[in-house]
Amino acid sequence: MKPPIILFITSIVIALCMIIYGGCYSTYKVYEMSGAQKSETPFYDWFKETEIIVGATFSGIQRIADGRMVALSSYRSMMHQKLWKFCPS
Amino acid sequence: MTLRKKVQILSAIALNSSFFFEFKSLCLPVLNCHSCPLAIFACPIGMIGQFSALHLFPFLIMGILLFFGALIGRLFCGWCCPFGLLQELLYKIPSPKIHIARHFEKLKYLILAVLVIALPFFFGSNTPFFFCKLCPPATIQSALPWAIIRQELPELIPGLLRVTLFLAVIILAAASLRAFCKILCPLGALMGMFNKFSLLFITKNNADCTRCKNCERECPMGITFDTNNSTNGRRSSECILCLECGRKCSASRSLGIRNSL
Repeated sequence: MKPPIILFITSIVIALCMIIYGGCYSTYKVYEMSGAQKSETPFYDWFKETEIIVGATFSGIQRIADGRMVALSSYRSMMHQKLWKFCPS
Repeated sequence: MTLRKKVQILSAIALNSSFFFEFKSLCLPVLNCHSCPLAIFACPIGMIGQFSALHLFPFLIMGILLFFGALIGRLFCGWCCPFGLLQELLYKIPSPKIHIARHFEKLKYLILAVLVIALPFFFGSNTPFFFCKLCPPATIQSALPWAIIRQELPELIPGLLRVTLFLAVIILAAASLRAFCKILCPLGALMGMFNKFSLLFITKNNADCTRCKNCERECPMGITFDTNNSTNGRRSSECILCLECGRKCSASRSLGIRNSL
């Protein structure tokens, strides 16, 4: 028995919806709650959600006690300098 | 050198050659550490862990994984993963070989659930047992290069733990082909779920199948004939579409979308 093609098509549709939602719409919400100024994060582009996470990965943006996310570093180069905190782990 | 080996080598170079540009906003379904100084893309497992730590659902990353998974299953594992290539090379080292029991394969699902999702969710990404802080590919791609670049030693206990685990995985990979993929890789656990309905899969001519089970003996993932067989309609979540099973097979196996296993 072959896997139903409908399952494959449904998966592709859901995947595309998630990519569009995650890449565009939900990022605004994430960024609004971040409290970070756009001018503080020059690396910020339309993939804002993942950029914030990349920032978090590099210890650049972190969630603070009240649930907001704040930008700790202003520039990507500074985040890369902070990489050591994450990387050798 | 086989086509797959050439693709693996080219992929390892391509994924780690960010001399002029990088796309760390995006990820591919490959366990390639984004903290590597030369990595182009983000690591999906690292990103999922970070999202978990921030209590956010990773729509974009999961969308990308689902998209690739539905289209090509675990093809990236077999053809593009740099750590998979390293393990295959390590296995060529003359050493005692062992067989890993199948029930250990469940361990990677536990790692995905606990070390990648639950621990960072409850304790944040700085918890010492967060997967990225132990990840063997990250040790060789990031921790060691950055230690050399920065000329600094990591913290003693986490550093020792990480290096010990890395050495254990290296030894295990030399003794059992793709041991890390079989029992530890959380990305393999995630992508394996998509094997069940992916468009691309291994195809074979059932009429020519003699049930010789040479495919079992050649499979680097230790998949048995009955768990990946078109005659009973089963697809294994462990299959990495490497086509090693077709080496001594009379049923003309290939990658395709028709008559797939």
